[in-house]
Amino acid sequence: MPEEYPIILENVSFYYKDSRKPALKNINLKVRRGETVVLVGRTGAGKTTMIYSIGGIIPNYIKGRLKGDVIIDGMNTKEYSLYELAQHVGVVMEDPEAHIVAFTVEDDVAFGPCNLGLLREEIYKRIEFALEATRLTNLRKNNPYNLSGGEKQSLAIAGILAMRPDILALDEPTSMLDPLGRERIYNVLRSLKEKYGITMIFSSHDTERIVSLADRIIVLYKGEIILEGHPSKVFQEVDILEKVGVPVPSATKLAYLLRKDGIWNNLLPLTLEEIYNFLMKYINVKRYFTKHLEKQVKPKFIKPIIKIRNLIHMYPNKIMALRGINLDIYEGEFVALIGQNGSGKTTLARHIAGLLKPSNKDAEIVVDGLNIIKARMRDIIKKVGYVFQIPEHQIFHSTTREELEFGLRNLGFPENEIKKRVDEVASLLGLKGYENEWPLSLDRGKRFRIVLGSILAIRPKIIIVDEPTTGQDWNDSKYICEILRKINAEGHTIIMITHEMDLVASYATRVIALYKGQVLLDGNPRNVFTKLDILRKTWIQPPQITRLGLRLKLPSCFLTIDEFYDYLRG
Amino acid sequence: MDSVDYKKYILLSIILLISTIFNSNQSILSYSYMNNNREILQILCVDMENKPLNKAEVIIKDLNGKTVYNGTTNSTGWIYIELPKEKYILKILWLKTPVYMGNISLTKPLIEKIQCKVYHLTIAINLLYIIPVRHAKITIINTTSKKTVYTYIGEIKIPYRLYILSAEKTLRLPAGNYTVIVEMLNRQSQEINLNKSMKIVFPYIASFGSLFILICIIIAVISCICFLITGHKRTKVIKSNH
Amino acid sequence: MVLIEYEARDTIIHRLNSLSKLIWFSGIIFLLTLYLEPQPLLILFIFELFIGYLAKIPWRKILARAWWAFIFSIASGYSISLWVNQPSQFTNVPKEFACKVLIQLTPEGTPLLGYTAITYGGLLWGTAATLKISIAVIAACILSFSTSISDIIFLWSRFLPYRLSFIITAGMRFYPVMVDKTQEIIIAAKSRGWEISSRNPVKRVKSLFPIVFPAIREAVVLAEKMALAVEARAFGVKKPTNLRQISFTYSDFFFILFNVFITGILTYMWWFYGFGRL
Repeated sequence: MPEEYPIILENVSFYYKDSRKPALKNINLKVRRGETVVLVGRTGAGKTTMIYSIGGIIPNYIKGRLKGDVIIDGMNTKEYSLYELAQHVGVVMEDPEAHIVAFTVEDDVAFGPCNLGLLREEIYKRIEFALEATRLTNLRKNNPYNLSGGEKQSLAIAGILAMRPDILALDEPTSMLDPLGRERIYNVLRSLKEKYGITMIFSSHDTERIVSLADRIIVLYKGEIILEGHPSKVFQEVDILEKVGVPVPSATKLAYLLRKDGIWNNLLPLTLEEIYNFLMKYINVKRYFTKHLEKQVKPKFIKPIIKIRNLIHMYPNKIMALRGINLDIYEGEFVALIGQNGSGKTTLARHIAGLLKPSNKDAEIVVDGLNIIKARMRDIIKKVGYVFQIPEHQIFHSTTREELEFGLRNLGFPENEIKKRVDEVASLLGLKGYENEWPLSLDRGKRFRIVLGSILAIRPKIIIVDEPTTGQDWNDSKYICEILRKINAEGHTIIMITHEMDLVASYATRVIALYKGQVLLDGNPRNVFTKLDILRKTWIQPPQITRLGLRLKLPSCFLTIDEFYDYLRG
Repeated sequence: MDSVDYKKYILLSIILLISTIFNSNQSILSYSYMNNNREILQILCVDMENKPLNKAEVIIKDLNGKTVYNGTTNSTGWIYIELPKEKYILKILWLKTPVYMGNISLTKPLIEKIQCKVYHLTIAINLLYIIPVRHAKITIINTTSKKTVYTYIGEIKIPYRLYILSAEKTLRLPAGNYTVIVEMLNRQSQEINLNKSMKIVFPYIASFGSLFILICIIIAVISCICFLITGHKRTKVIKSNH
Repeated sequence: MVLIEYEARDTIIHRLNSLSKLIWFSGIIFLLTLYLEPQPLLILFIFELFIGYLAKIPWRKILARAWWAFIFSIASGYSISLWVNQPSQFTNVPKEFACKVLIQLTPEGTPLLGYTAITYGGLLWGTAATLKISIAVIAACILSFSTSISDIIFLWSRFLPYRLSFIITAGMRFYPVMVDKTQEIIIAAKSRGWEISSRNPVKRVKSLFPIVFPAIREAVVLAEKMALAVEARAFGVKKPTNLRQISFTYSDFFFILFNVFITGILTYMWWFYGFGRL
């Protein structure tokens, strides 16, 4: 049995310590040797708990009540220690930083095998295997601190692979990564599957990518498996998936909508290729799209609210992050700032927020009439609010209320004004009832709202949000963007740094693409996403539906499935 | 004796008493009685560098050649002698060698500073000019008389300077021709004509300590050269630690 | 964290193994504790410059980063030397020379300060102290520039218990990560109007709380995650294999020999000849 099914979960339920709700409920699962299983589901569905259970972290490290049995390669996780299980199943956590313990890539990969007391020759063999499998051979002497996010995650995987486990369990390996990093990890996983036949189980929100990788998809909802099977089977259940908050690939959704109208009669496709062929046959591509869905807001005033001239920034390590940026942003715009990691997005955003100073004296940054370069921070934050990528870095107090009050207290607002504004913001963001909760005990989506709330309370005209959807599931990401749209509708200018092109397409009225410290493209999403050749430089891919439209050589650029569907329906 | 003679004696006594009172503060030494025939002679003996000569032998002879006094100077180079008022021959010896001969006429208390022909000889001992040698035997032989005038066995001090290259011993010798012999593990000698203060260097004296340092320096220099040569090209591993 | 980071270069010093360099460094530090006179320290200083030349040290970078260390060494050395003016403090230098007062600053009996003066002996001491710090800084820069941290860690893991050396390694590994996180926290707090404006020391300390707690929390969370990650990689289960080997080339051998003999000569001369004593 262990030969055929290295992972067996029998009636597994798990309750975290002091919790009455089960994180996993009556899970029965068998994974074949060499199979790649992907867990999908909303945040809190139980994906991480299941990964940790398979890896032996539960119950060896995380205490709670584990009912049922988790059998890994014939070993019950309740009876074996973590290190004994580690030679059969390797767990890679979401944050690769915690995995990396050495000062060179090679030493880090060797860490595990050295701890096992293996012979040197064996260790060197394992290092070579792990580096090759994760495409890190050329970086073996590099300091991990200097690696990109994708490379760090690859190194975390390599470190586990060097233990030569038969099973690899990864907890959201791509959630913290940019598109380039994600591409890298998926290629590594594909290579592990095809070349080495490793049994893999991992969780992901990236449904469009996993369809080609997964042999089986398991949909979790409130700790239970509600759907399971080959991707082509699972993604047929669009209703169920949407109900439980699992996004379906754009091609699948489009076909689903067409099926409702009786146009599509086959199994729902998973990839662009499948739907493209159908659309080529059945759609008249000479039909012109007459509706013009321009979302760009015409500027209310001729004068921009943000004016940047000749902005140059060089970091102390001589890296030129910005090379003479000239930009005007108008009031009421919802700007998406996109680009590969290192293109200068965060640097530009921090300059606008007054958190960085230009390297050149003749740079000009004026925000709502305030010269940011010369202004005091206390004056800047009344104009510009900045929400950082990691909410935990911006939570300074032990209750939600104190957190919402933090900025207002620093600025010396009177008590009654503080109370009034905090109540307003709590209502707007759905935080009523959580005022006395410890922010870190809440889920990630609420933490983001608390941080946003504490900035909104100050009422700045401009809000900059740095990758707000990192680590969030699709539903939470959309919810955050809905909040931003709501705030935008109230007159705030929003600048959002993101890698999620679907969200850019759905929410942004303007897209600025940066590349190597310069503005590569600037315009409304429709204009920007048609320039595929230019976007390719920055490793940005427009949304799947947009690519489909462009491939079909349709006269306009479709940003959402609904637009495309409307077009097809005439 | 008639009355006139008595008057002469009384007058002479009064005059002598008065002159004694006036002269009582003049000399460095206070003497409790007046001796009409003896005076104090104070001599300070110095060498040619004006440094006091202590334990210099002072001989005073009368004009007939008879020794009337024989003594040595104290630690500060002074000697105090009481002699009858006469003419004398003063002879000062250093290391049994006459370094001064002269006449003195002691008619009144006399303080004399006599510069003797004694010169400083500094002996610097090292190995190859760079390693001081701290222990040695020094023998100085008068070339003329073939007599050994000085012998020393013991520690040679290293004087404080910006650089330390030798141990040094400074002696005071009468002018003359000498053979200076320094011995440790080996022996080296030099002949000098000491007619002024001088320094002589013995650069080839070996002691255990200095030889040890020399060997270490040689090994260090050779290692450095070998390191520079071998370090510029990749060489085979000679030992690896399993 | 170090004044100058390791750069993988192909110089004669880089090619030496870490043990050779550690022996050299230990010898330097040992000699620095012995010598109080500037003359031998000057020789040592010139020697260090030569080693730095062989290692192709970026002197400008060191000066740019370590100028404060040199200023500190000069200031501290010469200010302490104001109290180096008593005959009992000198054994080798002639006392009348060493205690000769150039400028008297405070007379005997001055409260707190006592008798302070600039003397020849004090100047010698001050110069020696300045040279000591400078030599130590340069030697440390040469060591860190020419030796990768992995080699240094491997070396001390040979001498220290494995767990202890891992703790030190992990601390060094995560130090820049924690610095980055703390910087982010500070920037985030500043973007919410936080600043330390009060001159009252108690209030200043209190105003640091919003920064300190998240920083400590991040450190604890990171440490927990790391503990889990290393446990999953069998840490502490057995005596680990030493992957690295210390390989000796001829140049390592000659370099060690050279350093041992130089240290030996200078120590002998200090002991028997009073060379370097004040």
